[in-house]
Amino acid sequence: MAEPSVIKERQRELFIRKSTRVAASYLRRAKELSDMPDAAAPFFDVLENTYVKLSDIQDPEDRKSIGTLCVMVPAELIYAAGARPVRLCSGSYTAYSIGDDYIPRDACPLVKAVMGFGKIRALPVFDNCSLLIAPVTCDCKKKLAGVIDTVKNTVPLHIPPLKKEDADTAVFLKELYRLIPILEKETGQQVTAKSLAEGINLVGNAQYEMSEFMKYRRHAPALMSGTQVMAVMNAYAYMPADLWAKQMHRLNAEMQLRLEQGHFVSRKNQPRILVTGSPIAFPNLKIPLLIEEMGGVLAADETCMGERGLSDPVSVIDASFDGMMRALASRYTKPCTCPVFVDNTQRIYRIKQLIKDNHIQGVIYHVLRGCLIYDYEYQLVEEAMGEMDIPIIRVESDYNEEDVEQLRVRIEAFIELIKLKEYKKEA
Amino acid sequence: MQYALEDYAYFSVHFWKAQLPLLLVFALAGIGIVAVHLIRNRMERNNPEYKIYSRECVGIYPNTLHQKTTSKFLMIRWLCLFAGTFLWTYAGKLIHQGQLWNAIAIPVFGCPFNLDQVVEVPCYYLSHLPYLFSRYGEDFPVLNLIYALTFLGTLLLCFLFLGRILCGFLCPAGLLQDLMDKLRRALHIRPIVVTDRINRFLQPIKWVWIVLFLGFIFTGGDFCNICPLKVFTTAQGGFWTNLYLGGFFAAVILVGSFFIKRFWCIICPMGYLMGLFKRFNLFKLKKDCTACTECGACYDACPMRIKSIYTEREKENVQTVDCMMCGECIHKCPEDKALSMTFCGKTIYQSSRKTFMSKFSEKEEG
Repeated sequence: MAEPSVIKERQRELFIRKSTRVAASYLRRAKELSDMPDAAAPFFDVLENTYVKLSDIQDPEDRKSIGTLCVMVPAELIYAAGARPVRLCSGSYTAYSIGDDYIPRDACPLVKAVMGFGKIRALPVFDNCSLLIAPVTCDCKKKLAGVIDTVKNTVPLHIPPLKKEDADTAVFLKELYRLIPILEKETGQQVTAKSLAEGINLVGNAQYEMSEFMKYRRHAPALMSGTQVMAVMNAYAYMPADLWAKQMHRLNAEMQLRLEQGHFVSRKNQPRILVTGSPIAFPNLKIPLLIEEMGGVLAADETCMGERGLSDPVSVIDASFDGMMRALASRYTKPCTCPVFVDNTQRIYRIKQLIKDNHIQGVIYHVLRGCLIYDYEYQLVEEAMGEMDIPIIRVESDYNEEDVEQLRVRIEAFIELIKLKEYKKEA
Repeated sequence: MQYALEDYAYFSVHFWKAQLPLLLVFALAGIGIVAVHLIRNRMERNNPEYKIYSRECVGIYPNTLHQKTTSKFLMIRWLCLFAGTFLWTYAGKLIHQGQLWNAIAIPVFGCPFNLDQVVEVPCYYLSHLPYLFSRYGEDFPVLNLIYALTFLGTLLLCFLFLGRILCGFLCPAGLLQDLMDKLRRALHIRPIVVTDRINRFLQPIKWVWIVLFLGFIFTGGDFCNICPLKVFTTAQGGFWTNLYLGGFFAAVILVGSFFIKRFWCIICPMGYLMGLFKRFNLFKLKKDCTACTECGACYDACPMRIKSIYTEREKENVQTVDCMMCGECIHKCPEDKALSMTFCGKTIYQSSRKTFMSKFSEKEEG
C-alpha cells in the first residue's frame, strides 16, 4: 500500500533535482551572456527564488495569490480585490514531462508544463494560489481550464473570439463583472471604485516604467542583452507589480547611465533580431540564448510573456466604476495581438512598427510544437516580411534540450545570412 | 426678419422675463434627467451582472485615478468655446448696439433671434432659403443681392476651409452640451454609452432633422418653431422667445447631452452639411496606421462615435463627415504619433505615450 506514495515521493525528489538544475543552468547562461546591469539582478533573484530555491513570492504586503494564465486576465481587478496575480504559464521542461502523462501528445508543451506543476505540487508559487483564472483562449488552454480543475480551483474566463463589434466587448465586460464576486469571495475584500482606481494606478506605474524601458531597448547598439530583458519580463509573472515597477525604475536609471557613458553590450554590425510567436516562458530561454550566443542581438520581442503583456495601458474615458470596467474590457481584448482572435491582422502592423522602432534586421518566428494558432499566422507574417525585405525563419521547438543543436545550426545560418545581406548592401 | 428689435439693458425686468422660457426648459430637463436615471436603475436592478452598481461604494468617481485629465489643446478648446458663446450671445451689445457685420455668416448653432451676435449665424437663412434674396424687402434689389452673395460667400469659405472644427471650438450649443457633461460628472452619474445599436438608431434622426432643416419652409412650416436651440442664446441674451415645440426638443437635447456627450452634435443637421466639405478643410485628422494598436480608446473617447478611426488600416486621413476635431481621440491615444491633427499640413497636436503615461509615474500617496 505504501509503495505508490514512495514512488511518488521519489518522483518528486527527482523532479525537484532535475528542474532546479535546468532552471539554474539557464539563469547562469543568461547572466554570463554579457555584462549584466546590476539593477537587473533582483529580477534574476526572483526567478531563482521561484524555480531554484523553490520559495514563495516575496511580497512585503500580505496578499493572497491568484493564479492567471495568458495576458487577458485583468491584473488591475485582482489588485483591486486585495490579491496579487501570478502568471503560471511556465517553460519548465521537467514539469512538461510530467504533464505529458495527463495531456494528449499533440497538445502544446506550455499547457503540459502547467498541468505538470499542478500534479507534482513542488512549486510553492503555483501551490499557494488559491484560485486559478484560466481564460478560454486557444484550444489547449480551453481544455486545460477544464482538466486542471481537478487539482486546482479554476474559474474559466470567456474571451470572445471576435473583438471588433461593441457586442463582443460587452460580452467580455459581463465576464469581468462576473469575476468580481468570485474574487471578493476569495479575498474577503470588496472591489470598490477607489480600490479599482488604485489597481489601475499600480499596474499603470509598472507600465510606465516598462514604456520608459522600451525606449532604451530601441537603442542601437544595445544597452542590455535581449535574453536578460526576456528574463526581466518573465520575472513580472512572479513579482507584485509595485515591486517590479520599483526595480524597473532602478534598471531604467542604470540604462540612462549606460546611454550617457556609451556603455553598450553589442557591436554596431551585430544583426538585430525580433522574436515573435509562441510564448517564451522561463526557464525555456532556449531561443533567446541561442540567438545571442550565435552573435545576434535580440532587440525586440512580440510575445505574450514579453512586451505584449505590459505594453498597452488602460485608457479610462469615463472615470466611473463602470467606465473603468469598460476600459479594462477594451484594453484586455482589443489591442491584444494574440492569434486566438479570428481577425488578427493588427499583429502584423505591430511587428512592422517594432521593426521600424527597434531597427530590426531579421525576424525569428518561434512556434512551440502543437501551437497551431501561431503556426497559422506564419504565412501572413512571412508575406508581410517579404514585402518589407526582412528575412524571416520559422523555428519549431519543444520543451526539451534535444533540438538545441539543430536550432543552433539554423539560427547561426540565419544570422550569417543577415550579416551577408548587410555586407552586400554596404558594398 | 419679422421681429421687433428689443434692446433692453441687462438685468432689467425684461431681461429676467426673457429668462423664463429658459428656466422652463431647464426644469423640464431636470425632470427628464431624474426620470432617465430612475428608469435606468430600475432596468438594471433585474440585471444580475450589474448587481454591483447597487453598492454605494462604486457609485462615485474616484479622484485618486492617475489619469491624464487636461492638455493644452483641450484648454484652448474650452477657452474658444467660452469665447464663441460670448461672441454669439453678448458681443454685439457690449461692442456695438445690435449686430456687427451681419452679412458675414459663420456656421455655428447660435440663434439669429439674439440680435447681439457678433456676426450672422446662417441657420435662419438656411432654413428659410426663399427669404435669402429679400433681406431688405422688395425695394432694395441691389442690397439684397450683395447681402445674399456675401452671406453665401462667407458661408462657403467657412464650409470649405474650416468645416466642423467650428462645432468643436466655437459652437455655443457645443459649450452647453460640454457643460451638461461636466455637470453629470460632478453629480457622479454614469453616462449612457453609445453602442453601435444606439448609434444606428440615432442616424435616421439626423436625416429627419436635415430634411426638416432645409425643407420645412417649403411646406409652410418654420424650422425655428421646432428648433431645439433657439431658446438658449436668445434667452441668455435677454430676448424674449416663444418656445412652441422647440422647447420640448430643447429639454430632450439637454437630457440627452447630460447622459451622452455632445448628443445634439450626433444629429445636428448643420454640422452634417459642414462635414460634407471635409476634403478641403485646412484642419485634418491623420492617423499612422502602423503605430495604431487598435485599442479602441479613440473610439470610446469620440463623442461622435466614429468607429472608422480605430478600424482604419489603409488611409492616412481618418477625418469623417462626423468628425468635429474636438481632439478627444488624440488626448486618449496612448501610442506615439498614432493620431495627429494638422493645420495646412503642419502638425499642431499629436498623441504621445510619454504624456499619456506621465501621470502613472507619480507615486501613490499614503
